Amino acid sequence: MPILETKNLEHRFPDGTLALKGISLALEEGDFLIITGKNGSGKSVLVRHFNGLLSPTGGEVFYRDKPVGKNLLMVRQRVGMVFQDPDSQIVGQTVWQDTAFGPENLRLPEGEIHKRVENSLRSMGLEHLKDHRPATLSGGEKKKLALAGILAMEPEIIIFDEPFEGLDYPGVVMVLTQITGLHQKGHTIVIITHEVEKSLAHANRLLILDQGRIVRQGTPEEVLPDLESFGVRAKPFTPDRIGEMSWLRV
Amino acid sequence: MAPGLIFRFFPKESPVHSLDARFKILILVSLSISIFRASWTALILLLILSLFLALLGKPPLKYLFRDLKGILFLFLLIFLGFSFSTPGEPSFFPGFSWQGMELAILFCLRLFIVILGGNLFLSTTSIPRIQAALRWYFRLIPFLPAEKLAVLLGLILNLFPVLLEEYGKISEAQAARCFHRVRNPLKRILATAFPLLVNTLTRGNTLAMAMDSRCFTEKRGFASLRAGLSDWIFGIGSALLPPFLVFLL
Repeated sequence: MPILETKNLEHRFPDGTLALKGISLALEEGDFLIITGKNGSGKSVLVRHFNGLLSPTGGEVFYRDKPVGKNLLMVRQRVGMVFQDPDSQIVGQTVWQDTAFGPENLRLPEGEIHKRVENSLRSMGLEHLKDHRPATLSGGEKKKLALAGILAMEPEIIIFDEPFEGLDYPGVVMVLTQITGLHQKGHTIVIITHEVEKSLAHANRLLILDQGRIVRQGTPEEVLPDLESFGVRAKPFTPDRIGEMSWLRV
Repeated sequence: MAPGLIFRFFPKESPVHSLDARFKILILVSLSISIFRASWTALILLLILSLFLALLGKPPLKYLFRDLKGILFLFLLIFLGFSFSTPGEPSFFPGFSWQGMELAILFCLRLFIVILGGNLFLSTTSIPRIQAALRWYFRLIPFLPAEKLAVLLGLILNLFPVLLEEYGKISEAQAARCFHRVRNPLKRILATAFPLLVNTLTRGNTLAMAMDSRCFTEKRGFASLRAGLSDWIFGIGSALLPPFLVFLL
C-alpha cells in the first residue's frame, strides 16, 4: 500500500490558470523522491496537496488510503513540510519556542512537548542555541530549526521545498547530512528542487514536472538522460556514476 | 541594516523576566493611566521608576538607543505642533508660546514613559506568556471569546517584527537607488507603503501556510502561569506605586 497517493490530481487557480493536470503518483514507504522541473512547472503547488495546504480542484490525494481533505489534522502531523524560506515559517521568539509550536498546537501534555523539543533540537545539533532568537541564526541553522520544528511533530514523510536555496557549500553539506540521516532512520523524503546535482546521489526516484504535468518518472538512472530537455541541469552526472557523485563524499 | 530591536523579546535571566506576565500587564496599565494625571514631580519620579525597572530587565542598551533615535522625529513633530498651536505668552522663538512648549515637553515625557514601559514589557515577556496572561484577564469578562482574542493579539505581536524587517529591506533597496533624492512626500510615502503592503501580505500568507502545516489552531495549549509570593509583593507594589505617587504629588 502506498504511503501517499494522488489520483488524477488537478489544480486550477481562481484566475483560471491550470497549475496541475492529471497527476497520478504513488509514494512508497522509505522512498527518497526528487521532484524537479523549471520555475513555474507546478512543483510547489503539487507538494502543497500532500498535506492538504491546497485542495484539489479535480482528482484526489490519499494518505495511507485515507482522503487527505477529510483527515487534515492527522495528515499534517504525519506529513511535515519544510518551506523554501525558513524566515517565513519561523513563528517562535526563541529556538525552543519555535520548535514547540507544532506540539503545542497538538495540545500534547507539557512533559511530552518538552521531550519532543529536546529530542528534535538534539538531533539537529541546536540544543546549545535553544534560548537564542531565530533571527540571530545563520542560513543553515535556520533551515535546521525549520526542520526541528517539523521533527517535533514526529512525521513519517518530510517534504523539503528547495532545501539548498541560498546556502553556501558547508550549509548544503550540513542540510544534506540531516536529510540523508532522516532517510536512514526510516523517514520518507520528498525534495523539490531544480538543483538536482546536490541530492540526486541519495534518491531512489526522480520525477520531472513540466507545465503542471508529470513528463518523466522513474529511477534517477532512467530519468537522467531527459533532464536537460526539460530545462534542468543534469551535468556532471552520467547515469552509470550517479551514486558516486554525492556531495557528502570527501 | 540590522533589524530594529525595539519591542522585541530578549530571553534573559532577570527579576523582570521572571515576573508573572499578569502582573506586568497590571503594572503597564497602571503606569499608562497614572501618567496622564501626574504632576511634574510625579512624572519625574515615574520616569525614574520606569528607568529603574528597564535597567532591571537588562536591555541591550546600545541597540535600544539606536532604535529610539527613530522615534525622536515623532517627538519633534509633537513638540512643534504643541508649541505652535497652544495660545499663551510668546517665548524666545517666534510663534512658540511658553505654555505650548511646557505642554509639549510634558506630552513627550508621558509618551516616552509609555514607550519605555511597553518596550520593557515586550522585551522581557515571551508571546506565549503574554497570550496566557491575556487569556486569564479576558476570561474575567463574560461572553468574551478569551482564547480567540488572546491568540489573535499574540499573532499581531508576532507579525510586528516582520513588518519592521520588511520596512528595513525596502528602505535599503530604495537607498541603493538614490531614493533620498526624491523630495515629493506623497511619492516617498507611496513608494514605501505599496511594496511594504505587498511584501507583508505575501509573507503573512506564507507564514499562515507554514502555521497551518504545523496544525495551528486557536485552541492550542497555553503557557502555564505561576505567581509566587515575590511576584505578588513586587507586582502589586509596582502596580500601586504610580497611582499612589499621582495622588500624593
